[in-house]
Amino acid sequence: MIERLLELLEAPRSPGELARELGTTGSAVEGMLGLLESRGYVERLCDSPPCCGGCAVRNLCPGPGAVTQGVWRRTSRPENPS
Amino acid sequence: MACLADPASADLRFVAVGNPNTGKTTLVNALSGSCLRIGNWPGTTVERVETCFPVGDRHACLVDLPGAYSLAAGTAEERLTRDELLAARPDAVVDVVDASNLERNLYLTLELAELGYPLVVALNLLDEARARGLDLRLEVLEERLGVPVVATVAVREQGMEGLVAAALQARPATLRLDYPESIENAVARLEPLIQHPSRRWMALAALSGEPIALDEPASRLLETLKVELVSLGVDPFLGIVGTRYQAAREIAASVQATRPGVHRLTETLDRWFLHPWLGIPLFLVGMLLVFRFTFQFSDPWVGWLGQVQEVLGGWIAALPLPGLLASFLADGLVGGIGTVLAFTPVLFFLFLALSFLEASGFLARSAFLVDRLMKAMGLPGRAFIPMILGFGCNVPAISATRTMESFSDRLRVAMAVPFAACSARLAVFTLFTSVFFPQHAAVVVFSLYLLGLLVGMLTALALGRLTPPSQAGSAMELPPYRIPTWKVVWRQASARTWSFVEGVGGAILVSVAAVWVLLNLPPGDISQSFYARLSMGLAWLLGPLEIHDWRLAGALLPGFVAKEVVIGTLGVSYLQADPVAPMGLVEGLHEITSGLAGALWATLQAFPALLGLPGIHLPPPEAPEGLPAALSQSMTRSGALAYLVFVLLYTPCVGTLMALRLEFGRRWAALSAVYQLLVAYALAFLAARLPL
Repeated sequence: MIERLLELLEAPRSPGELARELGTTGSAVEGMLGLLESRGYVERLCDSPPCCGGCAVRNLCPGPGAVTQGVWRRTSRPENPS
Repeated sequence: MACLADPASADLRFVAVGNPNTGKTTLVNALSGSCLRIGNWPGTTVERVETCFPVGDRHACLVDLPGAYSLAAGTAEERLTRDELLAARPDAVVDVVDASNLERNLYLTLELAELGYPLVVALNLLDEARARGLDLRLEVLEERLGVPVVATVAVREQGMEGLVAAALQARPATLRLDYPESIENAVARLEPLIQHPSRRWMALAALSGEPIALDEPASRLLETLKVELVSLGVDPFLGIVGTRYQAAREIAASVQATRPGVHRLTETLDRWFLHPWLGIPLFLVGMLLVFRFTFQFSDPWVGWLGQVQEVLGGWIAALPLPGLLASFLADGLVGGIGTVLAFTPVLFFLFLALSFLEASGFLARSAFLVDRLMKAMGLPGRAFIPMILGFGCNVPAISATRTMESFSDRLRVAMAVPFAACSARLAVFTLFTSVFFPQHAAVVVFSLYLLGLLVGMLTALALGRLTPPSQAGSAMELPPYRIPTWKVVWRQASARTWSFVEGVGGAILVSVAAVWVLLNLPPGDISQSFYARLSMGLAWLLGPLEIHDWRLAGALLPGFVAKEVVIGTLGVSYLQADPVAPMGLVEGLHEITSGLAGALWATLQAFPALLGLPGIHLPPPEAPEGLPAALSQSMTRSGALAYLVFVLLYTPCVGTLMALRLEFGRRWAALSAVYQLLVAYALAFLAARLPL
């Protein structure tokens, strides 16, 4: 499952999307992301969906729908065996 | 069950472990009868707490460890949990699992099973899981894990006896995860070189890159094994973590079934409370209601305690005592201490409302909304915990900054915390708003709280320009909404209020007595006393803030000891000039009982008033007497507002400064004191010029 999650994160995704793809809960995905982030496998791109990039209040807005989730992506960690 | 005074006498040692926000501390309290602090958000327990209780004819000690998602030592809490578990083998590990979030919680359970210690699973929050449409088969979970599983609803103290019985019978888990063959081979070679009861878990942790202390031969072999695994194209970290998550998922799937069509309260409410545009206004309305509730319900009781204070002063004045002693007791002790204690109901009702919001999950939502603002300033999400704790007392809030990894973040939050209006300042706010803004007391106090928060955040932002901020932290988890039991809410509010009352007996008593002595030296006209002369110098400095009365200026000096001393000092210095009239026993008792009946009736009337349309006007006040009457003659409304702003923001109390010194050194503590004084003066100067 963790390999599949890393595959999915070749493109930026929210935990909600990942949970749907993996057939698991958002909370479990957040747990996995937390562990992977601590080792530098993944990174959080921003707290708001990419569509908010040009918005002047994007740092203050809780975001449309995916409020706690943010968007994540796999890093180009050189020691990651692919 | 009663708490034991001496943990050293315990002959059983249990350790409670679990993910954050699984009700672990509630369960520890329910098991041991202790009163540890509870919160419906992650990170309430930030240190190791031990509580003891009798089990039959034996004595057990239960260690409550901070919430952790794994033993990977990614956070300070996880490191503390892991170190405690590895330091000594407990008689049983009590793993508190959130039944409504099984898959995520099982990751830690699987790690605990690998430690090889006697383990029992407390499947907590079962009621919430059922309300969310989850049916759980405990016998399947028990079979898959190979350890006893006990259903608990800790908040209602359900399942506690079964849990204790299971802990006494606990045994190591029979479950053994099968990792990829290359990893299993590596573990098999490394394990024999580790001398520890948890050698399998330690071998796995070391292979996955965790900092595990190993002997020289084991360390050398570990490096060889890592090279071999990499040459095979195996990432041991991903292999180990992936196997555990896969197992957690399979076990959870075999244990739980979802009933379709069940309404999920948390998601529905979050659509409103976390709405991009409605969230902040709803939060502000909610906090305004908290203050409205606080003032409506506490007002009658503050008035009644004021009556009791007058009666006590009158009884003392009627006693055949030497004049100076009677003055000390009536004007010094009763006038000073009594004035501070009279505001206890305000704190109690505020703590009652905040405890309800905290235990129900609403406070975490408000913290989440504010969290966005913090992240915009480059602060980690965890900064919300000390900031919110600061509204109770700044001292533990400064200590709570330890949960943040970066020194820069810790410093910025710690410098912002003293601006949060602690409960001691609320007593001053209540007195002045009741005299000068009786119709808008809730709005004025609410605005002061917001001002403190704003100045604190701007301070953190400004410091971020001087010290490089860290990258904002990881995702913030929101707890589900819960209906807290009145027992939990009442107990928390009582404990916090009692902590305030206890403080009155120490430094405040000494400060009030010292002020009384300085007011009476040399004996005679108090306006010629040492205290008055010192205060007059200060009043000259505060003149531009519309604070001209020496008694008002002087009260700010002992306020440095603790902010509630400001009230006590005002009581002593104003009431000294207007000695209490003697009162008979019967007359006093009649006044107290009739006042009590009036307070009860006014409290009953507060219920329909609170449920009415959200107007914020309080009933018209009666003509002020005693200290309020004296204050109303001493300054203008603009001056009163400037005084409140100054009290909110000026130099923190000595306890807060000591905490700053302990955490960051003398230089930062001194800088904080000077900086706050300057900010307070500048903003109070502006407040004094508002057209009121």
